Amino acid sequence: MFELFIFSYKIKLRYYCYEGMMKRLKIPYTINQKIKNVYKSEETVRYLSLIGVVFFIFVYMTFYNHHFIGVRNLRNLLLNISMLGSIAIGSAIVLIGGEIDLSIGATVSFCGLVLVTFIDRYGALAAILSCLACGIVIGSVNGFLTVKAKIPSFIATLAMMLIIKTITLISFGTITKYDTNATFQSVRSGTLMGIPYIFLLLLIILIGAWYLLKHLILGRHIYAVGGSEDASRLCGIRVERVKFITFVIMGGLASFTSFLIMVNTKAFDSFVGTGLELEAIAAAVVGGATLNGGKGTVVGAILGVVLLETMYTAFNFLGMRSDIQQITKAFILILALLLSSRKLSKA
Amino acid sequence: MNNPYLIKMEEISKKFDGVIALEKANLNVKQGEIHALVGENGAGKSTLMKILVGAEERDTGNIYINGSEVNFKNPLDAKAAKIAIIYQELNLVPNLNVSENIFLGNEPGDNKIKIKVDHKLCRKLAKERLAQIGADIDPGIIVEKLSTAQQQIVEIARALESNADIIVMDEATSTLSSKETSKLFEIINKLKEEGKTIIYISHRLEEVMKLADRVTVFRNGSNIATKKISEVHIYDIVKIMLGSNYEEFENMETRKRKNVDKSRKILLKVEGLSRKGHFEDISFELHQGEILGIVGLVGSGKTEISRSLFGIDLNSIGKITVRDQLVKINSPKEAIKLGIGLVPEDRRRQGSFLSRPIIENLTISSLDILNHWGGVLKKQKSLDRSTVVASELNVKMSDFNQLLGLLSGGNQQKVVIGKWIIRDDQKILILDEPTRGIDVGSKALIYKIIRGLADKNLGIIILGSEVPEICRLCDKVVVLCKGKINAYLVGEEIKEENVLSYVLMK
Amino acid sequence: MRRNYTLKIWLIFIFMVIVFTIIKPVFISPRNLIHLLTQISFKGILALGMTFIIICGEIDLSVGAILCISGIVIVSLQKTGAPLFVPVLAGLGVGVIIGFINGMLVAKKHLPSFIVTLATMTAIRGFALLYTEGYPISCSDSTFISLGKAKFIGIPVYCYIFVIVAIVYHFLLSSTTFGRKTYAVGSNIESAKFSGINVDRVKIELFALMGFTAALSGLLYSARLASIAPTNGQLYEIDVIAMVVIGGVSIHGGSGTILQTIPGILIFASLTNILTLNNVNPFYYYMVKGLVIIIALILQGGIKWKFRDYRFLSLFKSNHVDNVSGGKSSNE
Repeated sequence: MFELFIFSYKIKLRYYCYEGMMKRLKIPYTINQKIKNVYKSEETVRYLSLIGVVFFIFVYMTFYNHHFIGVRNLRNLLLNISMLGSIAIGSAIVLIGGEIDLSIGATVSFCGLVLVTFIDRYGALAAILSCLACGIVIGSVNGFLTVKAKIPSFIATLAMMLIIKTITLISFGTITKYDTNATFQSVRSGTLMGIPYIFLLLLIILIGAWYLLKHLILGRHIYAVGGSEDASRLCGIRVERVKFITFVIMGGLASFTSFLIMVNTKAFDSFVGTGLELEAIAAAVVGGATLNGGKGTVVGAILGVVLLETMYTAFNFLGMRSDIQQITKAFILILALLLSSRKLSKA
Repeated sequence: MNNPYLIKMEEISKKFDGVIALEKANLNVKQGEIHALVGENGAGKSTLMKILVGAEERDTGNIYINGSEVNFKNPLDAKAAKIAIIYQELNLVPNLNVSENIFLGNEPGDNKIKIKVDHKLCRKLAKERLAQIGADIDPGIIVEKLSTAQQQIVEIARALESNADIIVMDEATSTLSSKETSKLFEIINKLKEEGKTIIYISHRLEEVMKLADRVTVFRNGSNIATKKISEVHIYDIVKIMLGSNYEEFENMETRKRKNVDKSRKILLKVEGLSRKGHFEDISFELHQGEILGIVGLVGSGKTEISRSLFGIDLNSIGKITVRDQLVKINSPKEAIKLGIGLVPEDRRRQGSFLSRPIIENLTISSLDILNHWGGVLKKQKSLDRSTVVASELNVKMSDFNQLLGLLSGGNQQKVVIGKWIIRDDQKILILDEPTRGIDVGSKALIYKIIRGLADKNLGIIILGSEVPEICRLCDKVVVLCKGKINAYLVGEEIKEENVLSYVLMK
Repeated sequence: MRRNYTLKIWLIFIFMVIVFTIIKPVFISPRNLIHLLTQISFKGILALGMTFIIICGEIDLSVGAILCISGIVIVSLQKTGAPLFVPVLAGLGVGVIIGFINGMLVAKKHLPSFIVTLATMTAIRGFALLYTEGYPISCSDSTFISLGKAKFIGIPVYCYIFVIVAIVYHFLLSSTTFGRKTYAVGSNIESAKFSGINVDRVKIELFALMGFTAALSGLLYSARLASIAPTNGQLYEIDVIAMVVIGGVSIHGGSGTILQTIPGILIFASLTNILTLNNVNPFYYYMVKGLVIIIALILQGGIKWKFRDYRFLSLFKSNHVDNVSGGKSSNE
């Protein structure tokens, strides 16, 4: 018990140090400076420090228990990263656009249950499509409430979470549903050169999202809208449409996540998604996103997921009691948020 | 038939919540000229421009561009008609870089569907645009790291990028230093050479005289006169702008300088006040009944001095003596207790509570006087004092419970100033640019009030950048240059040319 | 416009009561009314405190947790046999201290209140779970229990306490310097600083007040139930925010009064009550709460049906109003 407190304290301390290092590197701008795009170097530092912390955890844990670096554990880690990763990406996109989505967990639960239920009745393809459709519809409603009804997204998505949770519980009850046909067995156990297909799916999403944000005009508009709505409007950017699209993307990614989870665990119940939204937001924030919008990257979000999942796996290895794990997870989440807001206020 | 006017705005009227902003206003702008719009706040020039660029919808009237009628429903329509506007509060996206901002909404590329961003092309075109104006800014820099003047240049580049032929500038120079202003004028003249038409809104008449070809004076929602700059004198413009209040202004000019009796109490003595990076070795004395002016360009440190005196900025060293007592002012509350008040520069953002009623705005700094033991408010006393102050300042409102945000800009400012007058233990009042953004008629009223306060033995410090105003108003003038006192002028030494020379010299 | 909204809300409440009585006459039976009043009192006290916080432009998600922990403190201490005022003061004190911590983090560290109070809530729930090992603690002091059950003219004492708190808080908000400062900070924090208001202090005091209020509710709660469990008060935060918002207090801060919160409390409590009476599946409660919040906010702000992308606040600053009518552009 004592040991794992020390451990988590060390992690937090390390993270804090890297944050501090980044602050010191905030180079003041002078017009004759050769360093272009000062912000870019902040990003690189962040990525490096995240990787550094992960590396440190690996080293420490391997000394503690050499199975940490074993194939089985690494595989599990990759799977976990894949499952959290896709919603972290969606979360990052919404955050960059300047909004927040708290209904993700409930959406994942709902879409997953739709998927599992429909597979038996209507077959794989119909199930996947319905699952995706549900995610997109929920995303659209979130978008509508935020953009048209002008409800602060925090409250709108919170309210939606409540509503979706209810609908889930009413429609599907509290029992766990199993995919008895093991429809996606090939996807589940398949690997390409040792890397699970599931992880590859995540990489595809990551590349797609990266391309969207970096090379598509829509991506640039998302950054613009998050940075300054007024300026974006003046340039003719349809701010409301852009925000709406981010919510729809989020919804779609949520349903994709539920697909990944189902493939991985072959089962679903109404409580699978609980707390996922906070984890996804924490990962995005660790990766550079801020609650104000305009900043952050999807690569950073994935690195954030890597860090978080590594930590969670470490907790398991250390034998942390599950309710203590919950509390520690919550603390880490909140620490990440606190640290990112700190940078905001200092700036 | 060739219409001599590029822009023709006819009989434009606009009402906001019952307040008449524009009443049958007309404006004619020739192609290729720099046309200035001057007038009081509330006179309608900004509103008219917003209507021109489609940010507001007019109630009645017609607009013709190049002879054909136009009907803009939104700023995009205006953009398509090649009209661009640069607002006073610049509208760039802070977290994107220069080239991204220039091309925002207008991303270059060959593909017709316009989905993909061509980074290389963007950067190249951005460089060209900036070079076109003669600016030396790296297009990769994130905009929030640039200075205001540089951001303004980016805005101009953006306007050019959208192929604007008509560029409207609303109070472009209010936050610029004179060097940056000259650079801006260079750019504007360059734009004129390229055949662009510029509409320039400003309340700085000296600048308008230097820059514009023709000027239109607005008053009370309508245009009063249009003159060629070469055919008018600055005083004529002022006369047209002021209308019936001109007498007060004239009275102002003949004010006699007070010779301060040395036996009067010293209210405030500042010795060696310094704050690293902002100002150094500031020393002056303020006597009872004296009006001290601190003049300097943007960046000379005057606002910073006032903030240190009022307890908002804390890391200053040096001695501050208030009424023979050596003090350290660590918060605005302490400053207020010492009898110091500050009317801030940005009255909207730093002085007003728009969603609260007028009476709350007036009494917010006097809560310690206007309450019984335990914090319960003395409502009747608040109302009485507010009534006195509101009538002194001639605030136009429906009643004290009206929300401040519903008043006109000038009236809002009056309320912010009134906040300090309501206290009866006020000893020192610092006013940071008290007449900025106020119409000339109200300006005269403010001068009157300031003098009245001085007569009541308050000590007044006025921070200003309009030298003629300071010269007419003050007994002593401190001229700041780059954070240091460059001159300390008393009595007959206070002359416009004299002051100006110290503002710029080292 | 603001007054119209509050009037509408009262009308809605009266309408609701009439309809509910028709649907289920047992709604106005004395037994049910007492039950309703209980809900109104416990959550209502929280909502009264929350009004201040929301007017100031902040939010407090830890109120349910504070309610719980102060109840735990009170019940545990009272087991030791100390005179009654000790556990009571300790419980209220705990609430104030936690509120103070919230305020310090928000004011001095400039952290968003949503995150800070979320953190506090998690921490408190964690401690509560650890301390109680998941089981409720029950009360043995007879004085305490009888106080919890005491009635005056047939109405439980805690209802009167709610009314007293409502009156006191209304006075506090509308007629004291503290109330004015709260409005000022919520309306424009920069101007508040320039007006000589110690913004940090106001925020700390506000959160401390909220902490005290939540602890008070916890006291009454544990007195009535004669026990406390670590899951008590969970998700009360959402109910409370809904109550404040329904009444018309702007979620953005800077305006609103206690008089506006009261109909919100009544409506929300009645709604929950009628659901219980109809034996509605508890799962539906979530949905109803969510819908109510959304509907209330839409009524506050209105839906921009027309695709008017081009009305934006910054251009309005020189002519119009910032947040005066709680989100409606004055050109609507």
